Amino acid sequence: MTSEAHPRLNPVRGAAALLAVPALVLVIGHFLPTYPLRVLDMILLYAVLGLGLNIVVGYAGLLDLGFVAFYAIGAYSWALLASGQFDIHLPFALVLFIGAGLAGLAGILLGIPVLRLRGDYLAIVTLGFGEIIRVLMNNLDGLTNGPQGIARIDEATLFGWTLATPLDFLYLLVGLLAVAFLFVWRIQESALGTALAAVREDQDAARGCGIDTTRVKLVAFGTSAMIGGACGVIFAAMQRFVSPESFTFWESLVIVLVIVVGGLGNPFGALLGATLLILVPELLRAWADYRLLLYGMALVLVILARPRGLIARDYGPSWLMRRLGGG
Amino acid sequence: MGSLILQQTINALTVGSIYALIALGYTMVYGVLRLINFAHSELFTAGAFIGLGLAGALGVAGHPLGGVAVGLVTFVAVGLIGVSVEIVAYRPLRGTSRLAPMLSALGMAVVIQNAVMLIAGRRPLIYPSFLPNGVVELFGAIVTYKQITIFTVAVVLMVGLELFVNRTTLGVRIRAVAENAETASLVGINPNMAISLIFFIGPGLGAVAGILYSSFYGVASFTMGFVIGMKAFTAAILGGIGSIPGAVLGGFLLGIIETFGTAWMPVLTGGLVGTEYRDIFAFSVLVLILLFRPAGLLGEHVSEETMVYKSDF
Amino acid sequence: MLRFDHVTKQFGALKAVDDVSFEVKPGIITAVIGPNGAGKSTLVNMAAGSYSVSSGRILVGEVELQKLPKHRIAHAGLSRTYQNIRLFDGMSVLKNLEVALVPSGIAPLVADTFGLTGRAAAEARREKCHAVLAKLGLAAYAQRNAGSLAYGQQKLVELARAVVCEPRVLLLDEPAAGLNHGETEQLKQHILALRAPGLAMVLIEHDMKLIMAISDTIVVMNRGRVLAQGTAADIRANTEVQEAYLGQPGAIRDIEAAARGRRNRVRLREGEGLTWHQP
Repeated sequence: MTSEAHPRLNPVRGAAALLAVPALVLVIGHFLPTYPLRVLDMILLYAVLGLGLNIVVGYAGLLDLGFVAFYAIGAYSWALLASGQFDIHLPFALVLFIGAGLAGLAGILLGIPVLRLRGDYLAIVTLGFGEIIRVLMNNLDGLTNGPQGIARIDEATLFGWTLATPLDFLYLLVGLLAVAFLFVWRIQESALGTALAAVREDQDAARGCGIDTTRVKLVAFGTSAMIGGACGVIFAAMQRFVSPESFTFWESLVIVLVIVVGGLGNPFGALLGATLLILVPELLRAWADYRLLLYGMALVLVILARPRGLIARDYGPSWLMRRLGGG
Repeated sequence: MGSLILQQTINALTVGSIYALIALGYTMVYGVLRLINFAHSELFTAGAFIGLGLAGALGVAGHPLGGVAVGLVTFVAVGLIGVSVEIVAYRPLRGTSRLAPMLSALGMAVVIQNAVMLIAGRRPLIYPSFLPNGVVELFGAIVTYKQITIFTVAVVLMVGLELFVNRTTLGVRIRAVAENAETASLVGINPNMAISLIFFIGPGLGAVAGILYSSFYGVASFTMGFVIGMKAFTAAILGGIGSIPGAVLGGFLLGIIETFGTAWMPVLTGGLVGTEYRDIFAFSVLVLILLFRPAGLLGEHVSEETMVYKSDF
Repeated sequence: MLRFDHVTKQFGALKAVDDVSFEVKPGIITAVIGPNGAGKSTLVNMAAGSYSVSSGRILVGEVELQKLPKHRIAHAGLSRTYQNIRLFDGMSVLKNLEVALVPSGIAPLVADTFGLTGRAAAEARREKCHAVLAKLGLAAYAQRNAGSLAYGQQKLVELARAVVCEPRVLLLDEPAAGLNHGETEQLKQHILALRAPGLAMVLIEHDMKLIMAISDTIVVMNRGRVLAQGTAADIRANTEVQEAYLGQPGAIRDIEAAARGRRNRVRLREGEGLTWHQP
C-alpha cells in the first residue's frame, strides 16, 4: 500500500510539488473577481472540512453524521468571543485555538459513551448531536440570539494582518489547507494511521493485536472535531454573521459527500470532492430545488458503482511522492 | 393531580405507540442486516403523504372506514418501496465494508425525502383526519377517540406481527435468518426472501404510523421523518435492538419518558428549561442507554462476547 | 508460562469449560485436542479475552488475564491466530504486521504522528516486520493486499502477525484447518522453527498427524473437562482416553472428518451483516 520502505525522495521535486499547487491557487486568486473568489474560498474551506471528517470516516471507517455540530461550535466561538454580543473582543488567533479546543472537547465527550461500542451507533448519535446543537442554537436566545443569529462580528486580525477581503481569506485558507493536508497525511502514515486502519478493517482483531480501539477512535474523533471547529471559526470570520441556518444536517451531508465522492481515506479525494460539490451547484443554480435529490442519488450511485470514490485510497500523497521521487 | 398524571400517561401511550410502530422497522432490519436503515424515517413520511394522496383521490378523507382502506393500500405501497430500496441500494453492498450500506441508506433517505418535497411541496400540508372524532372522560382525564384509535391500531398491528413472526412458517424463516443467516441458508431458507419480507413489513408499519401521526396532529411536512426517526431508533435501542417486543416496550417507554420529562422539566428547573427541549429527551435517553446498558432492556446481550461467539464458532 | 487455574465458562445452562486447570510451559508445544464442543476454542477465546471467564484465573506469569481488557492481553504477552482468518483484508501484508507493533498510550502515538520519535523507531518496527515475513517465506508478499492472497498464505500472514510482537504465549487455533497436504507440511516446519525457550505455544488442532508429529505434550479435553495430559505416547497408551474417545474405532477419523467439514463451511464474520466468503 502506501508506505513501502521509503524510496529516497527527490527533495527538490517533493518541495516543488508541495508548493506549486498552493502558489498556483493564490496566483489564480489574484485574477478572480469577488464572486468566483468567494466560491474558491468555500471550496478550500470544504476541502479542509473534508480532510477533518476523513480522519473518522475514511481512516477509522466510522460514520459521523453530525460533523456540522463541531463546525457550529467553532463558528459560534468566534461569533460570541469577537462581537458586540457580550462585548468580548478576543484576538482571532486565540479564538482559533479556543474554537478548535471546544469542538475537540465536545467530540471527546460525545465519543466516550459511543466509541467503546460498535461503529454504527456513532452514526445515529452524531446525527442526534448535530440536531441538539441546532436546537440549542435556536433556543438559547440569551447566548446565541436564537434564529436571528449574531451579526456585526469583528473583523479578524491575525498578528496585525486584517482579514477583510475574500483574497485575504484565500491566503488564510490556503495556509490552513496546507497545514491540515500535511497533518492528515502524517496521521495516515504514522502508527496512529495504522491503528485506525486496523479498527476500520476488523475491530476485534485489532484489539487482539493490542490496539486500544476505544482510545484511538477517541483520538481520531477529537482530532477531526478540532479541525471542524477551526473551520467554523474561519467561516464565522469570513461571513461575519452566524445563524443556526448555516448548520443544518445538510451541511454534514455535503461534507460526507465531499469525501465519499472524492475518495474515502484519500486527502486528494477531499480536494477533488470539495471542488465538485461546491462548484457544480453553483453552475446548476437553475436546478436548485433538485440539488439535494441529486446529492442523495449521487451518494447512492457512487457507493454502488464506485465505492472507492473518484480517487481510490491507494493513490494518496505517499503514492504521488513515490511517483515523483522514483520518476 | 392524579388526573393530570393519567392524562399525561394517555398522551404518552399515544405517541409511544407511534414510536413503537416505527421502531419495529428499525429493529427488524438491524436484527438481520446489522444496518441502520436511515431511509426508514423517510418511508414513514412517504407513507403519510401517500395516504394523503389516496384520501384525496378516493374522496374518503374523514371516514374511518376509508381510513382502513387507505391504510392497507399505503402499507402495501410503501412496503413495496421498502423492498425496492433494499434490492437497489443495500443488496449489492452485502459483504462489502460496514460503511458502504450505511452511506447508501443515507443517500436513499435524502432521495426519498426530496422526492416527497418535489411532489408535495415544501410547505406543510393540512392533513385530513381518518380517525373518529369525540372524547370520553376517564377519571377526570380526557381521552379522544383519536388516541384510542391510534393505540388500538398500533396494538393490533404489533400483536399481528408477533403472531406472524412466531406462529407462521414465513415468520419462523425470518427469525431463523435473523438468528444465523448461515445456518438458515444451510437448511434451505433463502435469506433474500426473508430480508425482502422484512423490508416489506417494516416500512409498511412505518407508513401506517405516518398516517396515524399526521392524522393526529392534522399536518404533514416532508421534513417530519427526521426527528421521529431519531426517536424511534432510540426506542429500538432502549428496548434492545433486534428484539421485536423490545421495540414495542422501548416505544412506549420513550413516549412516557418524553411526555413526563417535557411536562415536568420546566417545573423542576424553575422554567429555565422549557418544552422546546422536548426533542432532546430522546437523545439524552439514547446516550444514557449507550453508556449504561448498550444492549437495551430486552436485547440479547450485545457484548463483544456474543459477537465473537457468532464469528468464531 | 500460561496457566489455567480452575477455569469455568458457563453459557446459560451449558458449562462449555468446567473447572479446567493445566499449565503450558515455555519452550515446548502443547496441543489441546478433543472432539467438537469439548471446550478447546472456548478456552482459547477466554485466554485471548474474547469471552469473559465465569470463574477461575488465567495467568501469564503473574498477570491475571481475565481481569484485563482485551487489548491489554496482547501487551501481557499473549497473541493468537483465529480459526477463521481475521486479517485486515484491505491493508498490505506489511501493514497487517505493523498493527501488532503500534505503540500503546496516547503520548507515544501523538509523538509518532508528529515525527517526534524520529524515523528510527518507525523504521525499526518495519524492519522487524520484514524479518518475520522473510522467516515465514512471505517476503515477496509484503506489499500485497492481505485479502488478495491465497488461503494458505493468509494463514501464514496471520501467524506472522501473531509472532511479530514477540509474544510469550502463542495460541494457534486450528492453524492447519483448510490447508492442503503441502501447506500443512510447510506450516509444521514454520511452527517447529518458531519454537523458542521463551515462548509457550498452544496448538488447537483436529489434524492428529500434525499433532502427534510436533506436540511435546498433549491435553485431551472432553465435555469441558481435561481428560488426560501427557506426551503423544502417554495419550495413545492412556486407557481412559482410549475408552472415552481415541480407542473407539474410527474416533480419529471422526475428528478429521470434523476438521474437513470446517474447511468448507460458510464464513460469517460478525459486524458485516450477511456476508459470505468462501475460503
